[in-house]
Parts: sequence; structure tokens; C-alpha cells
Amino acid sequence: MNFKILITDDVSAQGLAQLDAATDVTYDVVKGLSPAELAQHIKGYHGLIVRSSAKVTAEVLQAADVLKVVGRAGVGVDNIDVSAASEHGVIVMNTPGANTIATAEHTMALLLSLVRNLPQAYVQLKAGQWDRKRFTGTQLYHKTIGIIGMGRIGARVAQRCRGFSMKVITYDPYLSDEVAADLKVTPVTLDELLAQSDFITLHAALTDSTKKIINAEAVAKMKDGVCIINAARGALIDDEALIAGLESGKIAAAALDVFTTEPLPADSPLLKMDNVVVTPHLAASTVEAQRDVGTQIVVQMLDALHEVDFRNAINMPFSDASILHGMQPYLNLAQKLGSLQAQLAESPIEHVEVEIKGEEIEDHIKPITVGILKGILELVLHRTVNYINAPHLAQRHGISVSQTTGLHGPDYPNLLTCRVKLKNGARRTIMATLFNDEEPRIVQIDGWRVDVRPEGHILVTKSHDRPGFIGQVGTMLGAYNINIATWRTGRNEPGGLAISFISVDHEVPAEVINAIRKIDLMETVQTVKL
Amino acid sequence: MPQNNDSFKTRWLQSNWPGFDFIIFDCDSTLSTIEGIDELARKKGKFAEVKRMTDAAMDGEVHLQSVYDRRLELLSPTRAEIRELELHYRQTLVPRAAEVIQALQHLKKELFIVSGGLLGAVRPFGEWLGIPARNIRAVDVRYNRLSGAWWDYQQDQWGQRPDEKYLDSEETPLVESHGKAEVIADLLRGRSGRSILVGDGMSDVAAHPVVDLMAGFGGVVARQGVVQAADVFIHCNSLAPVLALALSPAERQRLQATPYRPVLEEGLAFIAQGKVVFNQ
Repeated sequence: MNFKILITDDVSAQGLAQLDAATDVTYDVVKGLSPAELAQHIKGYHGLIVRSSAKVTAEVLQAADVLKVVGRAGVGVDNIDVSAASEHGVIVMNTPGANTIATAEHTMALLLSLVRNLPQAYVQLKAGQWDRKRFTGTQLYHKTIGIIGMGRIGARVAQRCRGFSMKVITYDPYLSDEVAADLKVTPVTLDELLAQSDFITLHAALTDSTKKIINAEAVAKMKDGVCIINAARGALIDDEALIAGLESGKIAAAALDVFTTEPLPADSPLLKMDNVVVTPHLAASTVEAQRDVGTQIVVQMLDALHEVDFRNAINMPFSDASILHGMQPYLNLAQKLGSLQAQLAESPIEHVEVEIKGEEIEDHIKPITVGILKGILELVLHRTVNYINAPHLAQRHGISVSQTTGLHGPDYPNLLTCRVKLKNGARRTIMATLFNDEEPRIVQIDGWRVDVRPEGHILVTKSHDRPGFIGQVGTMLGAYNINIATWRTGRNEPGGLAISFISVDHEVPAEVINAIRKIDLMETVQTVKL
Repeated sequence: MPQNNDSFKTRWLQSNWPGFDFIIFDCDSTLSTIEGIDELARKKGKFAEVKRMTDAAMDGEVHLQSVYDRRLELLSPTRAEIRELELHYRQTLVPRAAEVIQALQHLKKELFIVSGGLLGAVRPFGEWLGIPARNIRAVDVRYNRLSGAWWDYQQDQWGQRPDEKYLDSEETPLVESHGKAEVIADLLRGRSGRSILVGDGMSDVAAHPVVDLMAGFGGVVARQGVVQAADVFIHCNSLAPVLALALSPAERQRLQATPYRPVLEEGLAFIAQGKVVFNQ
């Protein structure tokens, strides 16, 4: 297959060289596209590489026909409508590692510039004034720095600040106490961070909950004379609140690399303030970072298009190819489990409960659940569902999902259990296992223990366990020239209700099913294809 | 105290009384004035229902074990809600809890928290008070990884989504009426020294056999069963008497020249006023 990639921003020469070297890829570089223009251009492209300027909106994604991957050369994906991408089954990936160090180092540069008045002193001295009194600085030693957002960059900044013997506190609702202890930072609430910090630096992704996280209310809670550093996203700070704080002296100084509007308008009040250090979004601009971001996004995109690896995909339940490959048999089984549930369901599935056991899979409940949903939805929706859009489509179609415990099944080394609740109130629990990492088996359905290989055409019958039943069904199928491959029956007690899985070599026509349904001891007959 | 027939008060008054080495605190209604799970319930508008279950458990009418999961299932708190509870613990500190802990640590006492509360709130609260995490036992829970915006993989790099809901609690003796004894015995195993347990509930009383002294704390709630069964019962809303009870005369002397003197004095004053009852 020949892949087409559209590039809308500058990508390093090293990155483009990688594309040139690939034999099955062609690419076009078209810069400065508006969303409307991008929507027109996007047709026919499998990959799209952007930096921060191109806006990948829902309209762009709607217009795309064969798009598989959007790659952001950089970290922040706020210019990409990730949820729209997910709904369309498009992978979104970024290059989180490549400019981590550059950004952390620039943060330190900003911090040191602030406390030692480097830019101001530089300007003065260049103007011929040797003034040693005006620029008395303050030390970082034993000061408290509050880091908002303890992701990759936040963690690197923390490490560097500890090198300066600063006390590092952090607000990050996703950070566990264990990870905080490893990073040697003290997790606090946002209010505590605001109240205790001598310096506040922002390293959070821009989301609805972090937008203007530094607003007037937050500034009011800060220590008098606090310093603020922002090398993450301009919109994390409410400019009016910042300017008011700087004017009142509540905020002693700020060092900013990013702004709500970029480029920063020439008439911005921030440019007129002596206690504000500014740089024009330079944090990621190092030789090393630019080179690495370009090559990394190209290599990642090629791997994703070739389905070799999906690292740094932010809307996939797994990004590590080794996990994907190791998990593949389980994911296939999960899909069959979902498909079987959907085929046996007498009314629409409303709720899916998942329980998994087994060392190899216990940490992977999400991909397995997505696999189950994929199996259900492909059958229900008659359309292609992938690992990216399955949860979104499930939600849109009113299928809720939860993890559960206590669905006690037989004791196998690994066990996937899926219980569904149907609109008519009925529930069905199906359990499956993988023998020797490769042999899938359905091992229990509701109360019945069975041993069924989930593949091909299968008749699923419930009947009264009486002599002669198997013979009648066999005879009838034989009359229609349908060959039985395997026959598995599970019963709970002799003479009770038994469930049979009859694997046949061909699809069973409706008239045959109707004929079988009329057999005396038959309760229900369903046909499934796995 | 099996090795000595003198009453605790008699020995405590003696000049050679050696003091306690290990001080074990309950959390809810002892270090903090709240019952964590009741507070979660209040937030979720299910207070009455849960309070009834908690009281029945604390008064020893019902087995804790059966009540525990039922309460949490009913509330199904999120990770964030359990973390918020930690803040609430801090804001409702029992008077003198922080000073008493600092003074005891100044004297190199080893402190523990053993609680039937939720580890996600009790551990950070205890650490905030200065008690090391390894000395804190409470009930850990698992979260439903398929709750909240579970498909938002980007936000999940630490695997600690705040919107994940309660799934089930770990198996621990702490959810059983007599489980505290087992956990405390475990903590004290291999350590030599005298131990005092400070708590307000019947589960603390049940741990009486594994500690040298059980001090009932009635500053928040005085439960009749505890008032009767504890070796010592504290009737005032202050943990200051615990400091006075835990220290040897020599250690009390060592606090004289420290900032902890006032809290020790306060504790001794409560004892002198008869706010601490010595049962024998």
C-alpha cells in the first residue's frame, strides 16, 4: 500500500529525509492552511503532520476519508480535536519525549533570569550603565517552588529544582503518592500550592479544567511577592489577573515563554512591565529538540501507518507494540466474546461488565474491554470499529461499561468474563480462556460449563436433556446435507436444561433452524458466526 | 498488664515508671473529629443510611466486615473524593493531636496509625502529621478502571485517574470487628517495648489483649462499651492527656525546656481535674 502524508508546518530536514527514504510513502508540504482549506486538502491523505499552528478541527476530521493518523510534532495537542479524531477512529500521536529536556531547561533559564534580573541587567550594561545596586537578586536555595502539572516536563523541572536545593511541591490530581515519593516532591492541593509557593511554574496540558487555572481568585490566594513562570501554554493564565497582580505588587515578577495570543501583540501591557521577562515561545527551540521532534514524528507515523507500533498514540488503549503483539490472542478472544454476546442477545445490549483474571492480562483491562466493545459494535452497527473509536461509539449508542468482580468462574490460569445486561432486563455471562497462549475456548455460559472453540458457524441450542435429542438434531442436519464438525453439550444435572454448541461446516439456512426449533425437547435455537 | 498487679495509675505515678515506646492511634474520632465514611456519605446525601450502619458496627452490634463493603458500594466514592477526605481529616484535627505527635516524636517514640478507614485518605493524613507511611495501616481499595472517562488514555499516564470509582476493598482483617488486634500484633512483632493504643471504638477495645494499655478516647464520641472496657478513659476533647500518659517521669522532665511543655502541662492538668478515668 502506498501512503500519502500531508505536512502543514516546518519539519526538520532530518525528518523529511526519513520520509524520502521510505519507499511506500509520498508526501506534500502545504503550509499556512486555515481549517477550511485543510478540510479541502485532507482527502486522500493517510497521515497528517502538524505543529502548533494548523488547527485540526472536527470539520477537518469529518472531511477526511482515508486519514489514519494525525501526528503532532511536539507535545500540546490543544490544536487537535482529539475526541472528534477518536470518534472517527483516527489515531492522534505526539512526541512527548523529544522536547522535554529543552522545555525543562528553558524553565530553569526563565527562573534564573527572574531572580537575578539577567535581561534587565544586560540591557542596562549594553546601554553603558554599570549599575550593581539596582539588580540585587534573590537566591533559589531553600525557596519553595510549586509545580502545577507533574508530567514529563514537570518531573524534569522538579529534578533540576532539587539540584538547587529548593523545596518542591506539586499539584497534579493524577499523581499518586507513590510516584510523588519517587520524584521526591510533595503533593499538595492547588490552594496549598498557591499559598506556600515562592515560585509557581506551570507544566500542565491545556484542558477545560486547566484553562485559566491562574485567575484572579488564584492570584488572591498566593503569597505576596510570588514569581510566576509559564513555559507551557499561555491560556493557562488569565492575562488580566496576571497583569493586575503584577501591577499591585502581589506578583513580584513573571517569566513567560507562552501567551494567550501568539505572536504577543506589540501593544501588550506585558511588554511594558520591567518585572516581566519574556521569550517568544522558545522553550522547545533547541537544535536537539527540533531535530528529534521532526524525526520522531515521522518515524512514529510510518510505524503507525505500517501498524508496526503505535507509541505515543494518545487515544489508543495501548501504545507499546510489544504489549499489542503479546496481547493479540487475548484481544481476538475479547472480540469474539463481544461478538458472541451481541449475536446471542435477544434485545439491545445496555451495559457491559468485564472481569479479567490472569497475570498476563490483569494490567490490560482497558484494551480487552475495547476489544469486547469492538466485537459487540461491529455486529450491531455493521461498520468498521477500531480500538480508537469503540469506546466513543459505545457511549453514543447508550452502552455503558464497568469493571466488576465476583463473577466466579472455573479456575483457569486466565479468564475473560463478560456479563451483559440487555434492554429487556435479561443478563448473560460468558467466560472464555486462552489455553497455551493460543487456543481460545468459551468455558462457561451463564450456569453451564462448556468447552467450545469460538470459530466458524455454530448452532447454539437450549434443550431438555433427554435421550434421542442429539440423534434427532443430527438426522435433521444430515437431511439438509449440513456436516457437524464438533458437538459440545453442557448440562448442570442429568435430565435438566442443557446447552449445546454445534459447530457446522456451512451456514445453516433459516428453514433448517425453523425445522430444528420444532423438535420436541428444544427450548431455543440460535445461530452464530465467529 | 499481666506482669504487674499494681494498677496502671499507681505505676504511672511512680518515679521509675518507664513510659510507653509504641503509641498506636486510631484515626476516625480520635485524631480527627470525623468518621471518614460518614463524611463521604454526607457529601453524597446518604448520611442517615450509612450512619446507621457505622454506629451499629462501632457499637459492636454488627460485624464490621459485612458493613464495610456495603457502605462503600452504596457510596462508590471516586479516587478524588477519597483524597478530599484527607483534607477534611486535616481540617477537623482533634485539639492537640499535632502537638502530641510532635512531642512524642521529639522523644523518639515510634508512632502508628491503625484505622478501619480508607488508606487513600488516612495515609496522607498520617504522613502530614509526621507519621511514616510504613507505620500506617488502613483499608486499601481498588478502583473501577472502566469508570469516568476511562477511554481518555492521555490523562492516564500515572494510572491514577481522579474520576475512577470504588470497585472493592482489599481483604484485610481491618474490616472485621476483631481485626485490629491482628494488625497491631503484626506491627509490634519483633519490636520490644511497651505499647499504648488510643481509640474510640469497640474495634480498639477488641485489640486490648495485644497492647499493654488501651486508652479510650471520648473527646469526640464516648461509647459506653469503650468507657467500661478501656484501661484508661479520656473524657476531654483534647489528646493532650495521651502525652502525659505515654511518658515516663524522666521524659516529662525532658520536655520542660521544649516548646512541648504547654501541651504536656495541659495533659497533666486534665488528669488532675479527673478528666481521665483510670479503670481497674
